Amino acid sequence: MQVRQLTESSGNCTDPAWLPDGKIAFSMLNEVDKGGQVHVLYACASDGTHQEKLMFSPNSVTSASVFQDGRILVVSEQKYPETDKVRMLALRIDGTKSELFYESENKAIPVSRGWECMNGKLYFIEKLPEDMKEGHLVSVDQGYPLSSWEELSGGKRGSYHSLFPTSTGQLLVSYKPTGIPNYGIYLFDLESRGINREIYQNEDYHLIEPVIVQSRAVPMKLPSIVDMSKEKGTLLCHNVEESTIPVEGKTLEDFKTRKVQVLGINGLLGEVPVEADGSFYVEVEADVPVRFQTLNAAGEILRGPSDWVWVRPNEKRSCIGCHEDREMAPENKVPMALYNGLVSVPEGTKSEPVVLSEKYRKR
Amino acid sequence: MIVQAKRKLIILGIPLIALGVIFYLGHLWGIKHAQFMTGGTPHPSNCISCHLYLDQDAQVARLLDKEYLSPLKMQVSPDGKSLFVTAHESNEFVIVDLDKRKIRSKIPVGIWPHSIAVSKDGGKAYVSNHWSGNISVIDINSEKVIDTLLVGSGPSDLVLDRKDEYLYVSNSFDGNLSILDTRNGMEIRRIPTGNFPIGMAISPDGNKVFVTHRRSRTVGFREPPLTEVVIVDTQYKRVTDRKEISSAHIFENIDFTPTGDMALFTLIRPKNLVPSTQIERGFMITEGIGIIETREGGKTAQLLLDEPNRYFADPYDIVVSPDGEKAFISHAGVDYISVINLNAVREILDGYDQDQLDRLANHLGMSPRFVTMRVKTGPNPKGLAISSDGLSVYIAERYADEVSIMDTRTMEIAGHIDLEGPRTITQVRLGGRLFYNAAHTFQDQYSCSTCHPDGSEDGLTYDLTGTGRNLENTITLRELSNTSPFKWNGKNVSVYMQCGMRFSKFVTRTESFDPDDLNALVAFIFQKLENPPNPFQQPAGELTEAQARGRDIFERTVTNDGQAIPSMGRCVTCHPGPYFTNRSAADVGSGFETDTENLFDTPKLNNIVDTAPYLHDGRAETLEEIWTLYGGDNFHGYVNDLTKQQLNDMIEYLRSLGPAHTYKETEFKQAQYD
Repeated sequence: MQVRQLTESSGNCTDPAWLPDGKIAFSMLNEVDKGGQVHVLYACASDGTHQEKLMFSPNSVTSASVFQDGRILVVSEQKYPETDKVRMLALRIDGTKSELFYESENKAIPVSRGWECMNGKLYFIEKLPEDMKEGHLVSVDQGYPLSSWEELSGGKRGSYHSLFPTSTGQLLVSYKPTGIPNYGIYLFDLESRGINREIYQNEDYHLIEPVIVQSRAVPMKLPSIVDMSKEKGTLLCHNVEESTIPVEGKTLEDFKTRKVQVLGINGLLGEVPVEADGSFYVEVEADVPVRFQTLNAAGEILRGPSDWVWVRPNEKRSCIGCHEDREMAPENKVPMALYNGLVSVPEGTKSEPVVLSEKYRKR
Repeated sequence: MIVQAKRKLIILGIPLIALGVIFYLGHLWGIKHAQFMTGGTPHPSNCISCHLYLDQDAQVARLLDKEYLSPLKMQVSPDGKSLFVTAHESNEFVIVDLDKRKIRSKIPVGIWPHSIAVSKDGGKAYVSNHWSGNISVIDINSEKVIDTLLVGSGPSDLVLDRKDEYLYVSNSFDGNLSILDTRNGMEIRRIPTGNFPIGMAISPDGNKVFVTHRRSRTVGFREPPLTEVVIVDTQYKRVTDRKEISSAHIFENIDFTPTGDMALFTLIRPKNLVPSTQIERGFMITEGIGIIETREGGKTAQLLLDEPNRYFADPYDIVVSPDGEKAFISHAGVDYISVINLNAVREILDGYDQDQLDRLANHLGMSPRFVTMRVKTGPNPKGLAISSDGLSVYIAERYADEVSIMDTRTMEIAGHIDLEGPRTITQVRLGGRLFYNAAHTFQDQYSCSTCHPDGSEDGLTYDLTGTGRNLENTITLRELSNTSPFKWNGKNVSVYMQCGMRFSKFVTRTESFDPDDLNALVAFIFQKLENPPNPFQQPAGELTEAQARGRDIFERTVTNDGQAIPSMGRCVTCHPGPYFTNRSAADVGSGFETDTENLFDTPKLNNIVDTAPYLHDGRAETLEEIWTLYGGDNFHGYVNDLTKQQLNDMIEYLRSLGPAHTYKETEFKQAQYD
């Protein structure tokens, strides 16, 4: 066996994961604007060349794994302007369509890669708020991860570090029983929800990140819409009023959103009008993180700032609302902003609206 | 000797070298041809794999194909000993002995047998022949067709009333319901219901028949579909109520709970108005059930069967267990049965008011609250039937030619009934499996047939660019052979290009079909997707007086006042039979504010009566509107001098245009160019 170094950087490169197109995703410790030292998600060819950044927020991104549906799953922790929740995000392998996959309702923190199993569950290690020292083995249903959290290691003494699914429906886990100094490799039985047997222990080393050397089905190779000759991408919000965050106000004008501010790392980039149906349509510089906050007619902030988002070159991105219920599909209607002009930020220009003729609108 | 040998070598060698050069150049040309025809989609340059199947009349392709049964709908006999199955590809009514799990007999019936109704004594079965426009009456004891009853066009579902006196038949193509007196087989009434009535169920008290529809009724342009469940009173035999179900369509089947407190039907919630920037989060299609509470002032709800990261495409049939506690739903697109806890559904209905329920119709997180299990099946599960004791659910696995049996105590597949179809899976058959399966779409959200049910179209306009521009009215895939190019702008020279890499980038948004699958898919589309008989086309091809007058308008070369019509202003120039397309792009003034170009591929007109709305973005609700609202100043043919009667006649002619194979090229006047 020959070991060959693929990447060279001043910061650590960790958590490699094979992508369906033959590339390798990994996290590289980087200095980012305002975020400080964070792990950034990259991809490179299998020989280490053609390094390409995939995520552009000032968040620390680690623990990449790949779903069978072809998306990358990562653990992301916001670092700027303040350290915020740790979430699991799913994105396409070209860095587009980054979406919340899982977020703990009780501030638990995912600390390992998530691995999907044949039974439709995703398994990972989490630190729970009542016990931040030990890692707990938890699962979510991959179909509806936001409302299916379950702890599997409840009542068991010890700490879990990482895991890997076996082909027989069990888990290889890196586990440290209470009183034992080092993590070892154990077999976890999903049916009885307990450690089945010890595989290997070493007195001198922690044994972590077990991987079974076996052939696996290659996940779907998703097509890319990124066009590096383009400098911008678009974001269409269907209805900013679609939100789980209540807004207080006495009159309609108090709580009705009239415009949206686009915020960059270094402050305000521009403002976008909000249509009567709550929609807005904006074009922003690609591969640059932005956030949004909504304002009423008096210029008071109603909601926001949002999480950091970005668009890849040529990406057309949509969102249903502003901190909306993440299990909601969009309403089947045409957002008014689609035809009322695309606003470019930071230029502040607006494209010509598409004026629909009378015979079109009469219906 | 040496000289002679050299000569022989030269004489033999030159032709061989020439042949080699020709072969090599041909190979190079073949590679370029394949690249051009597929739009660069990786594809082996194998002539046979494509060209064998491109012509719908290709005899070799037909010889290579086999006759499968393709079970569609089923009924269990009242004594529980037999299972009756429609085999829509072999045009047979199949009787299965459930004790032996073997076929007892296959009885030939009409074309595309669809559904079955069985008399209470088990002596008679009625089978709707979807493409024959009639009902076969079968004597179960003698296993013979004893009568054929005429109904409307496209008969689909059937129900008998409580006394077996009247048979209700949904005529899908006609948009109405036939009611037949079973004593004499005569149709006593025909009731208009809506756009493509399909599923039916009779309430347990026998007082109401609920009729579901596949297609939305006419709505405003760029407004969400509105599809109906029509309620027919069985005493007065008239429509007493219409439930409008918003933002949904394709209500394929319906069933009642035993107490009759709820009627449940399968549905699809398309996102055709949403700019399709992504598939994630249900941005293209979601699938679910509709529920109608039957009590006075009862609620109507739609609950999604999907999950945020996992979709259950093409819900088809639904059956309720005899105890009223569970319902079973087949998902034809993902090969699953969803098991529904009906008490959980009742709790949801009780827990929310109507406004909240309307909002929850888009909620992908609801299904874990009422779906208790997903059971994997064989390919393309369609019709379901349940035993009277509720212990067995029979599943028609259309593309396996099997019926599987699910034990409802363990919720496991406990056995299979082989319908004795061909063992070999042909290229066309494989293509059918792919066409009806959602595995080639991101997270299994939809299959080809979701927007092209039975190969036709869903009547909706989609924003596939995700920008509000170049909106596309779904096109029928029937009779595509000989009508290239494809796509509304005609930029796809072949179906290989249409369904290749760009398709995966903008429509399915997942890995594209591999070359073998693409070959099979194209073979299926070209060989199997035919137009059904057109009820407005006379049986022997003759025209009614109005249709004949309309044809004269269609083929005319002078206006009413004797002025010559330029060739490009004559209908027949761009729409010559038998496909009624010259396969070229034209500007007929239909480019609109949302379009970035004005040239559109000339569509074929076969069975155009079935495919409203019209024009590339579906803005013309009727054929008439093509000219009365959008024809401009003689842009779309010279029509402005036509009287109302003449326009009506021309539309009568257009409505009569049937499948291409019913015409001969010699029947049509050839276009004369200026």
